[in-house]
Amino acid sequence: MNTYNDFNNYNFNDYELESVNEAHMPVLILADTSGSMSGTPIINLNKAINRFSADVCRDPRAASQVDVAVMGFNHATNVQQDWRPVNKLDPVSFNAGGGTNLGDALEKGVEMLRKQGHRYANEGIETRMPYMILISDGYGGDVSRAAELIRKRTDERKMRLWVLAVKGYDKATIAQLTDGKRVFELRDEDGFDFTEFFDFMAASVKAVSTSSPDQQVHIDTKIGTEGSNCKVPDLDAWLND
Amino acid sequence: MIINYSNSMAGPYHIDKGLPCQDSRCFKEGKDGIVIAAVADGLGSMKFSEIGSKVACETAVEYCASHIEAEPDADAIKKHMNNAFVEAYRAVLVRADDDGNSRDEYDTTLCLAAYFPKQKKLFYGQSGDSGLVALLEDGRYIRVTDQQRDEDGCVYPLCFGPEMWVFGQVDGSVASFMLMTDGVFEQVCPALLHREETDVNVRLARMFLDRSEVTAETVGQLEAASQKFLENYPRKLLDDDKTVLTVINTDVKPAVREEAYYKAPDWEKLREKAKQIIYPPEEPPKPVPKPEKPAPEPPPKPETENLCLIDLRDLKEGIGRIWERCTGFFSFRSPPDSRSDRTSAVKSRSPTPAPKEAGSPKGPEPSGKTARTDIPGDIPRKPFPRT
Repeated sequence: MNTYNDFNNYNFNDYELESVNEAHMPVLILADTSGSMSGTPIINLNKAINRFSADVCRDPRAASQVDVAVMGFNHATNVQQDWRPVNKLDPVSFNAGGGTNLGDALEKGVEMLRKQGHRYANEGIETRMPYMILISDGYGGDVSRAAELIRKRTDERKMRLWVLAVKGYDKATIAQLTDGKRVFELRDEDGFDFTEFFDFMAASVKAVSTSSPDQQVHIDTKIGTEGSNCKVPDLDAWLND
Repeated sequence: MIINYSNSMAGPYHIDKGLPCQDSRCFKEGKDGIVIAAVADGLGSMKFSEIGSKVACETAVEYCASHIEAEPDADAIKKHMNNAFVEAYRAVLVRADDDGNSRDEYDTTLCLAAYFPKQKKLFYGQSGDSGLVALLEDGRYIRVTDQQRDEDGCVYPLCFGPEMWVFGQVDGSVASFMLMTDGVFEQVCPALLHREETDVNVRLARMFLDRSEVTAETVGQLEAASQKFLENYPRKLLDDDKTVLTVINTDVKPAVREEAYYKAPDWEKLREKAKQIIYPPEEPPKPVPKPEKPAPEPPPKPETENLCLIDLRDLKEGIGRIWERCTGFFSFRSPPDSRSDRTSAVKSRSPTPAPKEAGSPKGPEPSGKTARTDIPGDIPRKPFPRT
């Protein structure tokens, strides 16, 4: 009988290695598009998000593993782009207007991340740490239910919330959501230059999406240094805890 | 004749950081030539998990080797395997206490096999996301175990207790089998194949399993070749610790199937298929509402709002779980089209999950209600993230 042994002679090298499992990392961008973001802030925000996706795509491995969805919110939520590979993200163009319902947007955002995680799990795809990136001034009603939900998911290491707090933000609300972790405060005079923050987020997403299991991630960035427009206490701890 | 060979090595990241391989494996021949084998994967995030995996593996194998009798009686074996898991978990906790460390730091998975060479029967126990693949005498390769993970993909390790442990028997005559920790298992049974008729990467599994010509003299060469193969696996494809334990019954010559069966799947096509599932169909963006006056405070949400979060798969799985609890029988969380002939109906959880050793004269008969607190030091746990 012609078994595998007869012609193989213990040589495993005829096996063609293929990428049969690719981890995916869901990143939800949750952008405040209420009236207070009118003018320069919303223009800068659009630019920063588009730059973010282009930056992540520069790393081919990250580009194949990072999935992005973009949701804007004012008094209502608007999924501008549902889950897709980051290299398929269309240019973002939010318009500002209306009030703000931050709590509702956060809850919907958590649910979007959760559902995407389930899609991965159902297909046996490994999930890299899901990120929610919130850009907001923090005003917009009661967030206690959302904060509780986020704290639970974060404690279970099932998501991380990163917040870019725009000028004049509501410190109490943002603190309630983040316990002071992963909050970036802009130092520039206008408080609306989002470039550095999104550059950092792109670097972070690239590092996390392509990291090894259990790997401690470190990113060399000018963010938080003198001359940077972002105030940050401890990046490494925020990346790895 | 039974031949076994095994490979175990730290993943590239662990090597870079000077960390040990947190996997363990163990092999022993029990009564009347019964083969007992196990692999365990210490949880990467835990400080002493390599100790936990070693203790769990060795204890479970030792227990089965000394308790399982020559006759492959399914109920008796299931009890012994359940007891082996209890003993393994107990030993891990005792070791943690003896070392003066937190018990959490020793968490591990455990995958256990008991093989009866004469009858060609294979029994298994599973906790976590390591796995077992078998080559049947008729030439088929079958995935025996499912990876136990929660809805977010976090693993359920040994500490979850009898509620999560699964025991069963393979349908059919087994010629050889391989136990693997998750890194290798996911190459041999990749997620991309989960919805296919053959959910094993046959080309890869065959290199390990279809070796019935191997002898005691040549097994060293085979082991060295497989070691080299795994060591050279590109980091970008597999960065985890890698452990495989293969057992071959050389008295069984597995049938050779048609050539197409051994061909590599069309991975590109499968990847495209998966993308259609993980990305929702595109919808045109909704217009952003622009109110003329400032928006009022949002009304309180009705309590029933969360009901809309349930999707059909959740519902199906939920009903399945209820059914399992009602009947006492367990079936794997298999994809909808998974083959029903993978394992027999013996693949059941203990009808009365046994927090104490089943059949032990010390404890009362299981009451039918799961009592995880009877496991020493057992506390409600959360599944562990894999990242």
